[in-house]
Amino acid sequence: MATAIDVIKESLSKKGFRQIEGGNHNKWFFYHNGKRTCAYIVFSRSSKMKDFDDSLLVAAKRELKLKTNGEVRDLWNCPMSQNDFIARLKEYGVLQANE
Amino acid sequence: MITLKTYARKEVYGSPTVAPTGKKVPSRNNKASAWQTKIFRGNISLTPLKTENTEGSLWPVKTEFINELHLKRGKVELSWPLRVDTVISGNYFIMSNEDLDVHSYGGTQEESQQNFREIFEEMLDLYVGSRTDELTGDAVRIKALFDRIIKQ
Repeated sequence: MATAIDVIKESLSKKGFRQIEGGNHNKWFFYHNGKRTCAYIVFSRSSKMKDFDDSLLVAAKRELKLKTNGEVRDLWNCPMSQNDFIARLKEYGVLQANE
Repeated sequence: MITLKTYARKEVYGSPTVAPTGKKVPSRNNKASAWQTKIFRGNISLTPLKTENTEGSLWPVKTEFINELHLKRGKVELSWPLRVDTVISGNYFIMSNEDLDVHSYGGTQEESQQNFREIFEEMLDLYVGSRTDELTGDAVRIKALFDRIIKQ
């Protein structure tokens, strides 16, 4: 299975992710309270790559600081809101609880 | 045989939660709270190897320690060896360094290595060029590591 990268980007942009310009790689970082977190995802700029293959979820969940492939899919598709994602990052120690 | 060797090596760094046989092994959890405390006291610490406790845990087919990298700016020496694990997932080679949070993938090992070098350099520029007050959470720790990774 694969998910269209354009669909993923659209979803991420609605949930607090911003694209960082420059470089050969398309980097999207999550911002919380106006500050950049370490949760991010990199997409290839290769025009050949239009879909994100499910076998890359292993890399995506590490970049996004999530624990399961299902959580990554939930973030891309709609079930996981921005607040839910923040709660996960706090639960996993990526953000401080009082941030 | 490869997985057995890898299992033995990983034991040195931390308890895996899933044995190569697929059987679950009790884990020491991910220690997030331990290093989180250190970060916000202003110390720099390397992240302990995070164990995967989820479906599809992949065992490294290759673990290497890198002392230098050939970047666009030229060859750079690193202040400490970077541990880079390579796993194969589907048709992709995925390379990761957990300390600096750099991950790459490619259809071949060479492509993944090239992407790793490029992403490392882009992350280096991004973190070194950022002020600490622009970052939050674990990003502060990662910046502190990137600030020191290149040997002057």
